[in-house]
Amino acid sequence: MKPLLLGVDGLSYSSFMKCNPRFLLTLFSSAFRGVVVNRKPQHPASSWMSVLEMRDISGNSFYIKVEEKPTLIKETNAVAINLPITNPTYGELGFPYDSNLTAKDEIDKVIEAILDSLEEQPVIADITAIDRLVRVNLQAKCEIYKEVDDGLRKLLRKVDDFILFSPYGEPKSDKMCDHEDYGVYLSTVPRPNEHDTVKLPEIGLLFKRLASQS
Amino acid sequence: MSSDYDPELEELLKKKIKQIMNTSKGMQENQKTQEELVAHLDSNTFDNFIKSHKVAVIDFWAEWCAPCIMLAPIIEELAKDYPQVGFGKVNSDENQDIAARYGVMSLPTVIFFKNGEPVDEVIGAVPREEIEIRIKELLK
Repeated sequence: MKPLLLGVDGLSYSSFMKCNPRFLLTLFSSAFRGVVVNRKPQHPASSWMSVLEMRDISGNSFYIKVEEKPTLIKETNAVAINLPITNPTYGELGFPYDSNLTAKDEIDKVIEAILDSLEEQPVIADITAIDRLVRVNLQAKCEIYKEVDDGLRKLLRKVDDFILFSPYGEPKSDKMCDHEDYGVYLSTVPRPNEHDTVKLPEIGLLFKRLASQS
Repeated sequence: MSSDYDPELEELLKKKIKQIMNTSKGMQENQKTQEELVAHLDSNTFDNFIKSHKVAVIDFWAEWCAPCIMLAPIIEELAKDYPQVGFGKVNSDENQDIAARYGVMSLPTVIFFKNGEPVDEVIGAVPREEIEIRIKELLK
């Protein structure tokens, strides 16, 4: 089985105590962990491009079209699933980045697509539900966390090596670039300096190394 | 064009703009108050802060510390619920002198002060109740 780089946009340690996602808390205790730091503007597209290009990319809008495969996808020969660099998302599935798609529908389909590809190729995938839905309905946060937690439990038990991260924390308003500065990093592989924060390009570099070892 | 000019309408528009600006200013001030419920302390402000509050609760944290990020909303929540208590946070990486003075070895550490003196502490990302029970005890 090949490695998985999975983003969950907007996932935040700051809601772990309130929403009590049991699988994520188990992972928190057992996996290598870190805090992703990403200051404003924290747009999904520029944040993800910073991971995929392994260097800081700025910007506050979706790309209209991605002509050439991003470097990390090219160099790892990974399958891209639901990456929010374009709207609709880039790669397999191609969901619109809005509040119409339910968390469960998105999570189920992303997991199915990941498991279909992971035996043969590395996968880079994203779940956008928290970012899309919490910004318009804060009250539903813990329900969405439960859906994400259940989905991750089903998925990650079947995966040998993974990096699970969020490129920024929870949405702080309905604006696309307004999030908490701190995201999540949980992984089966250690980082060189665990008392440093995790930068977005570093996530891409860590996955590239992981993919080259598989 | 001059025949379209309506002084009454212009006056109404001016009033409306002023009203919107005041509402927006109010929202910004409200947000600022919320953020400042937990004071960001450093070597210049720490001593004065713990002396000026009968009971103070200080959260020692660092950016790389995931349990610290988990604990932060609980401290903010308590700060809203106990306005008579001074809540502060100290970035231990940036203020190593303060952390060393109180023997902070692991993060997060929450130290409780009464009349400027440390009287209790909690280590780790603990549930709200663990901190609240100590605050209630100190306020008796």
